[in-house]
Amino acid sequence: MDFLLIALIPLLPLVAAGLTALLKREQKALSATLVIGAQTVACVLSLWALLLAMCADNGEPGLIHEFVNFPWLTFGHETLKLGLLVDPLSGVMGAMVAFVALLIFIYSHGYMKEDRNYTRFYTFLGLFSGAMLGVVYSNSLLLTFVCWELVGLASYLLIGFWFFKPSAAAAAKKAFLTTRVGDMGLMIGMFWLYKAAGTLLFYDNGAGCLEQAALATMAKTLVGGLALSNIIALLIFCGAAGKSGQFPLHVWLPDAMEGPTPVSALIHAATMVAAGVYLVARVFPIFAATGTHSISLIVVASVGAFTALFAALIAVAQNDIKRILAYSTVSQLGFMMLAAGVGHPGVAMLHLIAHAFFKALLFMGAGSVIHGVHDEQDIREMGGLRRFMPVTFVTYSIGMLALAGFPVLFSGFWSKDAILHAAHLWPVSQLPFYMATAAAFLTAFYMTRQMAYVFFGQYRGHAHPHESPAVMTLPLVILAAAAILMSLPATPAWPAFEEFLKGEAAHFSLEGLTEPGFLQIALTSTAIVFLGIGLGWLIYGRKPLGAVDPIQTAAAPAFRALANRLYIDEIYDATVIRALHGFGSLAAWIDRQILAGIVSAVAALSFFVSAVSNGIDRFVINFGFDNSCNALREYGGAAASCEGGRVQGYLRLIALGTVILLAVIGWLLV
Amino acid sequence: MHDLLQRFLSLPWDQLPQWLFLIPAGIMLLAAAGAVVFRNLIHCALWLVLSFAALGVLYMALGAEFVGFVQLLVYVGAVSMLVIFAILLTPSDEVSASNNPLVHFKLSSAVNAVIGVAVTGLVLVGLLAAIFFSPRAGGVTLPAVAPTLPVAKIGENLLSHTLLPLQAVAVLLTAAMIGAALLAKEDKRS
Amino acid sequence: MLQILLAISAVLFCFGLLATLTRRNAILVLIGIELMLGAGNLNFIAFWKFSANPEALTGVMFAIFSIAIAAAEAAVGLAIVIQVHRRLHSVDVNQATQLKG
Repeated sequence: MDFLLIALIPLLPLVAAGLTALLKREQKALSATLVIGAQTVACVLSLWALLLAMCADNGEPGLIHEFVNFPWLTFGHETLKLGLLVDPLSGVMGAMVAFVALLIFIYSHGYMKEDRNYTRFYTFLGLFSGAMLGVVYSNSLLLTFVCWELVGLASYLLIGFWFFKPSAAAAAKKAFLTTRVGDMGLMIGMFWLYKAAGTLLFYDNGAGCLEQAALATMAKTLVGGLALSNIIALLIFCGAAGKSGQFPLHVWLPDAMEGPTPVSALIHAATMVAAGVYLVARVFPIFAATGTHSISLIVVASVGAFTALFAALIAVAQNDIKRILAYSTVSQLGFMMLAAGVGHPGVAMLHLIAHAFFKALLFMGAGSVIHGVHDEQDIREMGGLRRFMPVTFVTYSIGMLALAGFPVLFSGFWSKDAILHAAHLWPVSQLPFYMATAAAFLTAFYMTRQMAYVFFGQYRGHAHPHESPAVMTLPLVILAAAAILMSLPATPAWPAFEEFLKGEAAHFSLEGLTEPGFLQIALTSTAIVFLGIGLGWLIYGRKPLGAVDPIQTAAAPAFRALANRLYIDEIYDATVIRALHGFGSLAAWIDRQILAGIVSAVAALSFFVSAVSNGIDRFVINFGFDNSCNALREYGGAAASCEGGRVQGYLRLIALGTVILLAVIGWLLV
Repeated sequence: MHDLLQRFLSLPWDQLPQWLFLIPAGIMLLAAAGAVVFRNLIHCALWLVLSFAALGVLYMALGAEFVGFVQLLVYVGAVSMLVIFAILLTPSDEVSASNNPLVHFKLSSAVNAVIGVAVTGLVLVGLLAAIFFSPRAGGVTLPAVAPTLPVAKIGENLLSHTLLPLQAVAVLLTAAMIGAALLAKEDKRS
Repeated sequence: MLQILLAISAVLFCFGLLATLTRRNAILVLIGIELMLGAGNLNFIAFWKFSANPEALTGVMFAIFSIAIAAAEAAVGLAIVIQVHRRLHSVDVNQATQLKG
């Protein structure tokens, strides 16, 4: 396989970003052409890589698993290697990332047209795309980590793209710092992995850290049933949880909606936040080194299930169109983590891909809505938009039905069912299954609420809504088609997809339909979805909506708690941030009381020295005539302040100190 | 011509008297003294160039030819140019002040100078005492074989044992270059 | 012979120190620093020549790196001098006291 072409996939957008960075602000067309062109080529190459991954050289499906490693740094006897990897997992993920990114790059041209920093926006987009594709195709945890941090940097830059808004600047900082907390774990896990396995390469002809030999050494039990592999896996999961907005590190993701909407669609819905799930799927052998019910996987499943339910609850009471989608993203990421945690990373990836398409569609639809009603984001100020924006309405509805898991036609139904099915079969506990079912119900409910608020009823705002230009609606149509078409590979033949990701020959069959329990689950979830949509319509669809939410009148305290995001931010303010603040105050106190005391002592000492020197000046070296007296006093004043800022004074003292040091050393030696 | 060069190179260089290195050393010290004491800054800079060049020759005489050439290139070639440019860009009143020393004479600066000379003298005495009277002084003899300095080995060393410092120095030089350019840039705002 | 070299280096160092301590022109102060660095390099070379294991090239490598860093230092230092001159219209080190505590 030609890995030069694979290397080009991440490098092209990066180089384009580098070139765009050199352009002037006015060269909008050139910058967009450069970045979109590079992304197009990268997209084609990634589709080619996917094809390669699907058909090995001998034409058999789903067997390819090729990598290339190269040394990067040598120090002492250690050599750090980086590498690229093409297998079904990276092939599918890379194609999805490159494709969605390309669509969003095109869409951004319409959305950001009027922005004066348009060129810089494309620079950041290119940087992001290159780094994200680097994460996907990396064959080394080190390279993954480097690109991972670059992706975080791009996210920071793009969230804070409108940095003159204080809220955007704060949100960018929050996102960067919160993910840093998780990345700390990832970094420690990486170091530990290097110590345990002696390499950070994923696959290296038997010597990689995901291969049998390394896994066997890591699977030895350390203490209390915990194996080394479990600890490392949990540390890596810290990073994944930070990036993928899992509880308790989810707080940054809703705030990240301060960024431009294409950014929310690309980074905070489709690709970057899914990188955590991808990482878990990639290093899944470490998670499962001690069996598929290892402690690390139980933690992943619990966190995922809890996040799915918790974020879906909060989404019910939000009024910002993008914030609802953000909490929905957190919730869906919880679903994916749940699937990975119950031992089916393939199912997690299936939902990831399906989710990427319909969530990007929803965000871009939301962007179109926001654009159409002149930068209004409050759903209470919208309403009745289906008459003004028909294309957006139809595509948004498709995305909404896919997210809600409307039966049969939409990809979200199949992938969500696969997750519920996997959770149902988990022998450890049934609790995650019930939590996920409840979350699925809430998903259908809050999406119906949003649709009712935005597209139905009467228009409640004060602007003049209009449909968005074709450059924005065309990607919507493509993504809507993808959201439906994705249900083809996602049909109950989903075990085939999982086998394909594992690199085994996939058997495409409808046997999944007859698997025990599948039909029950499918029927249950269908009933749940209809219940959610029906209840939503019952509450929100029938009467004209005002400023007060119907639930708010019915159950005010609960609604208030949800609207305030269950006070998680406030809890963090009261605990972590206050603790940090207290620590800072303590440091300040030490600085003021103790260090300042030392400084004052030094000052007093120098005053004493100056007094002595002044006295010498006055009485010993007194030459008797005024001029020299004045000059002497001037010098005394200069010496009085040893800290007078005169460089040569300091130098003199240093030289004297050297002499004293020499004398002491000489005295000690002789 | 080639013949001449061959004959020049095959002269018995190894058998030169050892004290010959004192010649560049003496020139270097004299020039350094000149660089320190002269009033006119340009004169100081020219003496400094001579001093650097003599130091390079001294390195060569000690067998470290490569370091000598680096010294010539970096100091005589680059740093001296910087110094002279800086002098020309910062017209100083020190020269004009020297025209009438009585008027501008300040006792504090005289005291300054006296203290500086005294401190320097102390340092010198301390250093020389350490060099000549420390218990281990004089115990060192030349290694049996005079060390040679093949450039290839330096290169090998640079890219193996000192690779990390080399890269760090590369970053440092880049940063210094950018920093110097930024610092010396005319401030548009003021 | 090592002692003589060290003594030469000590004298060179003291010339540098003298310039740094007594001259008020910042450029001359920098010249003094360069002289002191040169003295340090001379020490490295001298110790290398008389070391037990000159094949290791330790002294030479030190000298080369030291020269490289001295070049960076000179560039930044002189740029600072120029900027100070632009601000204060003087290169007297004793007038640049605005950073005192």
